[in-house]
Amino acid sequence: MQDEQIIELFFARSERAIDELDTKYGGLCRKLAYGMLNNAQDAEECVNDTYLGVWNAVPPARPEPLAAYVCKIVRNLSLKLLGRRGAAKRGGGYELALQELDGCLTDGGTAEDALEARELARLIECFLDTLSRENRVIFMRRYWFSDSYGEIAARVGLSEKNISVRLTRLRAGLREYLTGEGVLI
Amino acid sequence: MNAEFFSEAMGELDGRYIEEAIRFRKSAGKRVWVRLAACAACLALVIGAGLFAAGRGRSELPLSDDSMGVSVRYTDRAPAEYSSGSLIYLTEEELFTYFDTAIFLGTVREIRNIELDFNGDTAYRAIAEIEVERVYRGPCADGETVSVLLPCPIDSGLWVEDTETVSAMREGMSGIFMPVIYDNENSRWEQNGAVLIKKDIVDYGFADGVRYAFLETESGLVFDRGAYESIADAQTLDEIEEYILEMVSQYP
Repeated sequence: MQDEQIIELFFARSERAIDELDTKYGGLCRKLAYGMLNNAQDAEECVNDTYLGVWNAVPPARPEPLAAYVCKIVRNLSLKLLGRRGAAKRGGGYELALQELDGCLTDGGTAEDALEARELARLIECFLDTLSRENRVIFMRRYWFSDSYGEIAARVGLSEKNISVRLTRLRAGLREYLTGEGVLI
Repeated sequence: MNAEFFSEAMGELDGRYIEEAIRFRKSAGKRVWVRLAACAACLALVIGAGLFAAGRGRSELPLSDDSMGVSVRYTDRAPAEYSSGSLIYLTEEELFTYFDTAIFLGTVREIRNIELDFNGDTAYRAIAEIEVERVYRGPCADGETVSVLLPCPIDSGLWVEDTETVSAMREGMSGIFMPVIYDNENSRWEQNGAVLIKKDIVDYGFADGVRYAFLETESGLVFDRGAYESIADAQTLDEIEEYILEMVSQYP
């Protein structure tokens, strides 16, 4: 079913909307939540809460693209759950991705303590725009979706070693970019 | 700045970056072609076929988003895998009706062992590429090559409990095969908190390694003669085919 048709079902307040959403994007959502939470039960709960969130938001929202909209909710809910759990119980792909970023970002101070997440997001977008499509996908799959090197390698058709090297370069590039923008000292 | 704040900011990215990362999947064919070309060049110049074989043995299979916490890669290893229990008893009629199976005559063109990693739990199986020559039942077509999951890795020195028939399978072998037609529901494999949708890697799979294949081997016809009592004395694939046609006419 097309995204537009699913959204129309939400607008018509048809419960079939949830079924169709789950059929089309349930796997994607569960994988994302599992990658972050490292627990199948928590991931399932998070996905169900996501569907409830979409049900409450659509209408009036008319998300475009739908997959990204749903994934954002999954990710945000997963982050909230992780926050409640505490760092000690994080684990999984998300924890590994965070550790990589920690090594890249925390050596230097931050120029503006008051920098808001939204402002940083705009800077990250500018950085992403400087990358090739393939490198952008590799970066996003690792640090947004928490994919493993193997999963990224399978998606983009490279070896795991190649992915590891590319991510190292991408993190160095990110650090250089943020330093150039005055965000990192 | 700490990584958690960075991650929070990532959550504010425009949806187009997320959408791009969801949709992007490099065509395997192109990569394979490039690699083959590179390997061929190396082959001609210096190293030989060994490099290609080694690289081929390690390659990972792409999975859909429905599979979680699992990776699958080709391997040259074939450690013994032991089945967990006895097969359920099925009558001859039930062997044709209990599972939704395709039934076809074909030749095994390739067998490759795979290593499955379920969050650290490792399992070994094999994938057979079978060229279909005659279809008795199911969605495949004559001339098509289908991939079938075998319940054990294949190795000339290996015997694996409950996989006696399939363990005898080798490349170039002809036979009649009755694999289950996989869909997302019936091919779900959960282990150690991870999920593999087997449909991601193969079209079909054997319900067990004993009763769903009839193989023409160098030492004669191999199949489960105890399960198929009415053809227990069969010596040729032609006899099996005759029996299959009769059963399929009753249980299409």
